[in-house]
Amino acid sequence: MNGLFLPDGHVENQVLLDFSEGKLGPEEMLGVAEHLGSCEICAERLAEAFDSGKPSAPPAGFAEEVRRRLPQRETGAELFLYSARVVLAACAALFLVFSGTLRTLAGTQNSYLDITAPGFSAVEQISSRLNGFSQQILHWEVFQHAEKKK
Amino acid sequence: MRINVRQFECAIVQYQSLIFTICLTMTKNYFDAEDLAQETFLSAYRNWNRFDGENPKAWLTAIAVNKCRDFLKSPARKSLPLPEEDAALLRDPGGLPEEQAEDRMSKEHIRGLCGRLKEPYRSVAESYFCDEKKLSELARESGQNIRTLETRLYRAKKLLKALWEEEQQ
Ligand SMILES: [Zn+2]
Repeated sequence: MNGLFLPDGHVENQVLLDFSEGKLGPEEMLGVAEHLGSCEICAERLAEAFDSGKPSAPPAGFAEEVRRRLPQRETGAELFLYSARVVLAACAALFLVFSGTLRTLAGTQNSYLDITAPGFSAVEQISSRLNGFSQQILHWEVFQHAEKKK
Repeated sequence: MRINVRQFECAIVQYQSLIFTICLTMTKNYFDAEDLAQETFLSAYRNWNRFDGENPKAWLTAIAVNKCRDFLKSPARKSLPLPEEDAALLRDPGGLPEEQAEDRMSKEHIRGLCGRLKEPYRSVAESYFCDEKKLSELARESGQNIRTLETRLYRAKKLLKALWEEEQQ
């Protein structure tokens, strides 16, 4: 594994770029992957290397499939730690992605405007909005329906 | 601080392309990558209590890399040759010599592979992988039960992974 790692044990920049471009051989890739899986610093650097390349989008139904596979009893209830900042950014991204559809389908723009005032309470607001929205708009009602039938 | 499931879904929306791209780069198999990207998010969900909340991007990246690494090292991943019952669900490629796809990630190539499946697997695979349809949409439009579609998609993916590997050899 010579030349893959820096003297401080982290992965070389060029190696991360090669990794993100799929240019590493199988052995090298696995060697680097072993470090990446347990080093958050290098994992972040790898994510950045990928960000500078061309991303491939998964199929449009991807998120819905993940949702369907979540442990069912916990859904909708209380969950986990997170950072408000990230949630806001992510929800904003969600809104950007779906806003076109959202407005048509929901027949209202109110919620769209809510997002312009981020803050702690906005997170709760957005999240409760999303509760209503996702069922209505993100086409998960079929899932809910199937769940009830079980 | 707690998060509800909707917020987790926001994270999926934000990072799904990154995670899928990582899995694709590592496995070089479109269908394995889709599966492993799903596994990544499911694993993140299950282990969220171990996450410090600081950097979800790095955290998800590390999980994805680990998933792919485990997968690549696993001897069981080679899906070839397909068991007879599965091979029976494939159509004959036809008499024409198969062209080497220029871009294996292209929609044309993926559609070509979906076309190798017999019904009812072909249509669900084409809808999901090529026509950007969600299963719920397909269920609504076709009046079919979503569980049925899900089972078919699962079966179709297994076949498609094998077809992809077969090509690579
Ligand atoms: Zn490192």
